[in-house]
Amino acid sequence: MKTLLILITGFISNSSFAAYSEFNKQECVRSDLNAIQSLFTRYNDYASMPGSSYSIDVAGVSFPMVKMTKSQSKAISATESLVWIVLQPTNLTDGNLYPKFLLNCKIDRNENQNYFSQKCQMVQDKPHFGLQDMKIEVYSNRNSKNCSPKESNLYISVKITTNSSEVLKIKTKVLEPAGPLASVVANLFDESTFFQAYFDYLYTEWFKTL
Amino acid sequence: MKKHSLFAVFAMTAALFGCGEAEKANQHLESMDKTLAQATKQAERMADSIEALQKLGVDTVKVFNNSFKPKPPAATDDIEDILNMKTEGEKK
Repeated sequence: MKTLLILITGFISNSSFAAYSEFNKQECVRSDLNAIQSLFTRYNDYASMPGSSYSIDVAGVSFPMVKMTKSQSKAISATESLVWIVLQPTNLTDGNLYPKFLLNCKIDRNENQNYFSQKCQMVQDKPHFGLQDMKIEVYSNRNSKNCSPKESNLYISVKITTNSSEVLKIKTKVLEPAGPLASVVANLFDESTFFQAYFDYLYTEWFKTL
Repeated sequence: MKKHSLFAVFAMTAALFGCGEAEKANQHLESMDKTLAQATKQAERMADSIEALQKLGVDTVKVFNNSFKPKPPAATDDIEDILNMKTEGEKK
Protein backbone atom coordinates (compact mmCIF):
# COMPACT_ATOMS: atom_id res chain seq x y z
CA MET A 1 0.00 0.00 0.00
CA LYS A 2 2.81 2.35 1.00
CA THR A 3 4.67 1.53 -2.21
CA LEU A 4 1.55 2.21 -4.24
CA LEU A 5 1.11 5.61 -2.58
CA ILE A 6 4.75 6.48 -3.24
CA LEU A 7 4.34 5.44 -6.88
CA ILE A 8 1.17 7.51 -7.31
CA THR A 9 2.72 10.57 -5.60
CA GLY A 10 5.81 10.21 -7.77
CA PHE A 11 3.70 9.94 -10.91
CA ILE A 12 1.67 13.04 -10.04
CA SER A 13 4.71 15.14 -9.18
CA ASN A 14 6.54 14.11 -12.34
CA SER A 15 3.67 14.46 -14.74
CA SER A 16 3.35 17.75 -16.60
CA PHE A 17 0.60 19.03 -18.79
CA ALA A 18 1.13 19.15 -22.51
CA ALA A 19 -0.72 20.57 -25.47
CA TYR A 20 -0.67 18.91 -28.86
CA SER A 21 -1.08 20.66 -32.18
CA GLU A 22 -0.39 19.77 -35.77
CA PHE A 23 -0.66 21.19 -39.25
CA ASN A 24 -0.10 20.06 -42.82
CA LYS A 25 0.76 21.89 -45.98
CA GLN A 26 0.61 20.66 -49.53
CA GLU A 27 1.51 22.67 -52.62
CA CYS A 28 2.71 22.25 -56.17
CA VAL A 29 6.03 24.10 -56.45
CA ARG A 30 8.10 24.97 -59.49
CA SER A 31 11.42 23.78 -58.04
CA ASP A 32 12.83 20.35 -58.76
CA LEU A 33 13.71 17.79 -56.10
CA ASN A 34 17.36 18.90 -55.96
CA ALA A 35 16.32 22.42 -54.98
CA ILE A 36 13.81 21.11 -52.43
CA GLN A 37 16.35 18.77 -50.88
CA SER A 38 18.93 21.56 -50.81
CA LEU A 39 16.55 23.89 -48.97
CA PHE A 40 15.41 21.40 -46.35
CA THR A 41 18.93 20.14 -45.60
CA ARG A 42 20.61 23.53 -45.16
CA TYR A 43 20.42 22.89 -41.43
CA ASN A 44 23.11 25.41 -40.50
CA ASP A 45 21.32 28.15 -42.42
CA TYR A 46 17.80 27.68 -41.01
CA ALA A 47 18.23 30.68 -38.66
CA SER A 48 19.07 33.04 -41.53
CA MET A 49 16.55 31.72 -44.04
CA PRO A 50 13.23 33.43 -44.92
CA GLY A 51 10.61 33.04 -42.24
CA SER A 52 13.04 32.65 -39.35
CA SER A 53 11.70 35.84 -37.71
CA TYR A 54 7.99 35.84 -37.07
CA SER A 55 6.03 39.02 -36.34
CA ILE A 56 2.33 39.66 -36.44
CA ASP A 57 0.59 42.86 -37.39
CA VAL A 58 -2.47 43.71 -35.36
CA ALA A 59 -4.27 47.05 -35.56
CA GLY A 60 -1.28 48.66 -37.24
CA VAL A 61 1.20 47.43 -34.67
CA SER A 62 3.94 45.00 -35.59
CA PHE A 63 4.56 42.60 -32.76
CA PRO A 64 7.76 40.51 -32.92
CA MET A 65 6.75 37.07 -31.74
CA VAL A 66 9.71 34.76 -32.06
CA LYS A 67 12.85 34.27 -34.09
CA MET A 68 15.26 31.44 -34.63
CA THR A 69 18.63 32.41 -33.22
CA LYS A 70 20.54 29.19 -33.66
CA SER A 71 20.53 26.27 -36.08
CA GLN A 72 23.54 24.01 -35.93
CA SER A 73 23.98 20.54 -37.28
CA LYS A 74 26.21 17.55 -37.00
CA ALA A 75 26.16 14.92 -39.72
CA ILE A 76 25.91 11.34 -38.54
CA SER A 77 25.94 9.94 -42.05
CA ALA A 78 25.19 11.10 -45.59
CA THR A 79 21.49 10.81 -44.86
CA GLU A 80 21.23 11.50 -41.13
CA SER A 81 21.96 14.65 -39.12
CA LEU A 82 21.40 16.05 -35.67
CA VAL A 83 20.04 19.59 -35.74
CA TRP A 84 20.11 21.93 -32.73
CA ILE A 85 17.50 24.69 -32.83
CA VAL A 86 17.16 27.63 -30.44
CA LEU A 87 14.32 30.17 -30.63
CA GLN A 88 14.15 33.57 -28.96
CA PRO A 89 10.64 34.61 -27.95
CA THR A 90 10.14 38.32 -28.65
CA ASN A 91 12.27 40.36 -26.22
CA LEU A 92 13.60 37.69 -23.89
CA THR A 93 17.25 37.92 -22.91
CA ASP A 94 17.23 34.99 -20.49
CA GLY A 95 18.63 32.14 -22.56
CA ASN A 96 17.32 29.57 -20.06
CA LEU A 97 13.80 30.40 -21.21
CA TYR A 98 14.45 30.02 -24.93
CA PRO A 99 12.60 27.17 -26.62
CA LYS A 100 15.28 24.75 -27.71
CA PHE A 101 15.44 21.22 -29.00
CA LEU A 102 17.59 18.73 -30.85
CA LEU A 103 16.17 17.06 -33.94
CA ASN A 104 17.29 13.85 -35.54
CA CYS A 105 16.70 14.29 -39.27
CA LYS A 106 16.86 11.52 -41.84
CA ILE A 107 16.46 11.99 -45.55
CA ASP A 108 15.57 9.53 -48.25
CA ARG A 109 16.12 10.29 -51.90
CA ASN A 110 15.32 7.89 -54.66
CA GLU A 111 16.29 9.16 -58.09
CA ASN A 112 14.51 6.37 -59.94
CA GLN A 113 11.22 6.78 -58.16
CA ASN A 114 11.67 10.52 -58.24
CA TYR A 115 10.96 11.40 -54.64
CA PHE A 116 12.58 13.06 -51.65
CA SER A 117 11.55 12.67 -48.03
CA GLN A 118 12.81 14.01 -44.74
CA LYS A 119 11.77 12.89 -41.29
CA CYS A 120 12.83 14.82 -38.20
CA GLN A 121 12.09 13.69 -34.66
CA MET A 122 12.97 15.50 -31.46
CA VAL A 123 15.66 13.73 -29.41
CA GLN A 124 14.03 13.20 -26.04
CA ASP A 125 17.06 12.48 -23.87
CA LYS A 126 18.89 15.70 -24.70
CA PRO A 127 18.15 19.14 -23.25
CA HIS A 128 14.97 20.71 -24.53
CA PHE A 129 12.72 23.52 -23.36
CA GLY A 130 9.21 24.64 -24.29
CA LEU A 131 8.53 21.58 -26.39
CA GLN A 132 7.95 18.06 -25.19
CA ASP A 133 7.97 16.50 -28.63
CA MET A 134 8.19 17.46 -32.26
CA LYS A 135 7.93 15.53 -35.48
CA ILE A 136 8.37 16.94 -38.99
CA GLU A 137 7.72 14.94 -42.13
CA VAL A 138 8.45 16.28 -45.59
CA TYR A 139 7.59 14.43 -48.75
CA SER A 140 8.09 15.60 -52.32
CA ASN A 141 7.71 13.89 -55.66
CA ARG A 142 7.60 14.63 -59.36
CA ASN A 143 4.97 13.26 -61.71
CA SER A 144 2.22 13.79 -59.20
CA LYS A 145 -1.28 13.69 -60.61
CA ASN A 146 -2.04 16.73 -58.45
CA CYS A 147 0.58 18.91 -60.13
CA SER A 148 1.61 19.86 -63.65
CA PRO A 149 4.55 17.95 -65.23
CA LYS A 150 6.88 20.88 -64.56
CA GLU A 151 6.03 21.03 -60.88
CA SER A 152 6.88 19.05 -57.77
CA ASN A 153 4.32 18.01 -55.24
CA LEU A 154 5.49 19.12 -51.78
CA TYR A 155 3.84 17.99 -48.56
CA ILE A 156 4.84 18.78 -45.00
CA SER A 157 3.37 17.63 -41.72
CA VAL A 158 4.40 19.14 -38.38
CA LYS A 159 3.34 17.69 -35.03
CA ILE A 160 4.15 19.61 -31.88
CA THR A 161 3.65 18.81 -28.22
CA THR A 162 4.39 21.74 -25.96
CA ASN A 163 5.31 21.54 -22.29
CA SER A 164 2.64 23.64 -20.60
CA SER A 165 4.57 24.55 -17.47
CA GLU A 166 7.63 25.62 -19.49
CA VAL A 167 5.49 27.63 -21.92
CA LEU A 168 3.91 29.36 -18.91
CA LYS A 169 7.39 30.35 -17.67
CA ILE A 170 8.18 31.83 -21.11
CA LYS A 171 4.83 33.60 -21.28
CA THR A 172 5.18 35.11 -17.80
CA LYS A 173 8.63 36.49 -18.62
CA VAL A 174 7.50 37.81 -22.02
CA LEU A 175 4.58 39.65 -20.45
CA GLU A 176 6.65 41.17 -17.62
CA PRO A 177 7.67 44.41 -19.38
CA ALA A 178 4.27 44.88 -21.00
CA GLY A 179 2.73 46.71 -18.05
CA PRO A 180 -0.81 47.77 -18.98
CA LEU A 181 -0.61 45.74 -22.20
CA ALA A 182 0.10 42.43 -20.48
CA SER A 183 -3.49 41.23 -20.74
CA VAL A 184 -3.59 42.23 -24.41
CA VAL A 185 -0.34 40.53 -25.33
CA ALA A 186 -1.41 37.46 -23.38
CA ASN A 187 -4.00 36.92 -26.11
CA LEU A 188 -1.20 36.05 -28.49
CA PHE A 189 0.17 33.28 -26.38
CA ASP A 190 -2.36 30.57 -26.86
CA GLU A 191 -0.18 27.58 -26.11
CA SER A 192 -1.50 25.32 -28.82
CA THR A 193 -0.91 27.91 -31.52
CA PHE A 194 2.23 29.73 -30.43
CA PHE A 195 4.77 27.27 -31.85
CA GLN A 196 2.32 26.11 -34.48
CA ALA A 197 1.91 29.67 -35.81
CA TYR A 198 5.69 30.11 -35.92
CA PHE A 199 6.43 26.94 -37.85
CA ASP A 200 3.43 27.44 -40.08
CA TYR A 201 4.84 30.86 -41.02
CA LEU A 202 8.38 29.50 -41.40
CA TYR A 203 7.35 26.79 -43.87
CA THR A 204 4.99 29.14 -45.72
CA GLU A 205 7.97 31.40 -46.39
CA TRP A 206 10.10 28.43 -47.46
CA PHE A 207 7.41 27.27 -49.84
CA LYS A 208 7.41 30.73 -51.44
CA THR A 209 11.08 30.37 -52.35
CA LEU A 210 10.52 27.11 -54.21
CA MET B 1 -18.48 -16.33 -60.94
CA LYS B 2 -14.93 -16.26 -59.67
CA LYS B 3 -14.16 -13.29 -61.92
CA HIS B 4 -17.19 -11.45 -60.59
CA SER B 5 -16.11 -12.05 -56.99
CA LEU B 6 -12.62 -10.81 -57.75
CA PHE B 7 -14.03 -7.75 -59.42
CA ALA B 8 -16.28 -7.09 -56.43
CA VAL B 9 -13.31 -7.35 -54.03
CA PHE B 10 -11.27 -5.06 -56.27
CA ALA B 11 -14.10 -2.53 -56.48
CA MET B 12 -14.62 -2.58 -52.71
CA THR B 13 -10.88 -2.13 -52.08
CA ALA B 14 -10.77 0.77 -54.53
CA ALA B 15 -13.82 2.33 -52.90
CA LEU B 16 -12.30 1.94 -49.43
CA PHE B 17 -9.01 3.41 -50.64
CA GLY B 18 -10.94 6.31 -52.16
CA CYS B 19 -12.78 6.86 -48.90
CA GLY B 20 -9.47 6.80 -47.02
CA GLU B 21 -7.97 9.44 -49.30
CA ALA B 22 -11.10 11.58 -49.07
CA GLU B 23 -11.04 11.24 -45.30
CA LYS B 24 -7.36 12.33 -45.23
CA ALA B 25 -8.09 15.35 -47.41
CA ASN B 26 -11.03 16.20 -45.21
CA GLN B 27 -8.92 15.97 -42.05
CA HIS B 28 -6.30 18.19 -43.68
CA LEU B 29 -8.91 20.82 -44.54
CA GLU B 30 -10.40 20.64 -41.05
CA SER B 31 -6.94 21.11 -39.52
CA MET B 32 -6.30 24.15 -41.77
CA ASP B 33 -9.69 25.63 -40.90
CA LYS B 34 -9.01 25.15 -37.21
CA THR B 35 -5.61 26.87 -37.44
CA LEU B 36 -7.08 29.77 -39.40
CA ALA B 37 -9.98 30.12 -37.00
CA GLN B 38 -7.65 30.16 -33.99
CA ALA B 39 -5.38 32.78 -35.59
CA THR B 40 -8.34 34.95 -36.59
CA LYS B 41 -9.82 34.69 -33.13
CA GLN B 42 -6.53 35.70 -31.53
CA ALA B 43 -6.06 38.65 -33.90
CA GLU B 44 -9.64 39.80 -33.24
CA ARG B 45 -9.20 39.58 -29.48
CA MET B 46 -5.91 41.44 -29.76
CA ALA B 47 -7.36 44.16 -32.00
CA ASP B 48 -10.35 44.61 -29.67
CA SER B 49 -8.07 44.96 -26.65
CA ILE B 50 -5.81 47.45 -28.44
CA GLU B 51 -8.79 49.52 -29.52
CA ALA B 52 -10.12 49.50 -25.97
CA LEU B 53 -6.78 50.69 -24.62
CA GLN B 54 -6.52 53.39 -27.28
CA LYS B 55 -9.96 54.64 -26.28
CA LEU B 56 -8.65 54.92 -22.73
CA GLY B 57 -5.84 57.10 -24.02
CA VAL B 58 -3.07 54.48 -23.88
CA ASP B 59 -0.58 55.00 -26.71
CA THR B 60 -0.31 51.32 -27.56
CA VAL B 61 2.26 51.79 -30.31
CA LYS B 62 4.59 53.60 -27.93
CA VAL B 63 4.10 51.01 -25.18
CA PHE B 64 4.64 48.20 -27.66
CA ASN B 65 7.77 49.76 -29.05
CA ASN B 66 9.20 50.35 -25.60
CA SER B 67 8.21 47.00 -24.12
CA PHE B 68 8.85 44.71 -27.05
CA LYS B 69 11.89 46.20 -28.65
CA PRO B 70 13.78 43.26 -30.14
CA LYS B 71 16.84 42.52 -28.05
CA PRO B 72 19.98 40.61 -29.02
CA PRO B 73 19.74 36.91 -28.14
CA ALA B 74 21.50 35.57 -25.08
CA ALA B 75 24.41 33.18 -25.46
CA THR B 76 23.17 29.60 -25.54
CA ASP B 77 24.77 26.18 -25.70
CA ASP B 78 26.21 25.02 -29.00
CA ILE B 79 25.41 21.65 -30.49
CA GLU B 80 28.72 20.21 -29.32
CA ASP B 81 27.84 21.09 -25.71
CA ILE B 82 24.44 19.46 -26.13
CA LEU B 83 25.83 16.30 -27.66
CA ASN B 84 28.32 15.98 -24.82
CA MET B 85 25.51 16.00 -22.27
CA LYS B 86 24.41 12.44 -21.74
CA THR B 87 20.88 13.07 -20.55
CA GLU B 88 18.56 15.97 -19.96
CA GLY B 89 18.84 15.31 -16.24
CA GLU B 90 22.55 16.07 -16.33
CA LYS B 91 21.88 19.48 -17.87
CA LYS B 92 19.44 20.43 -15.12
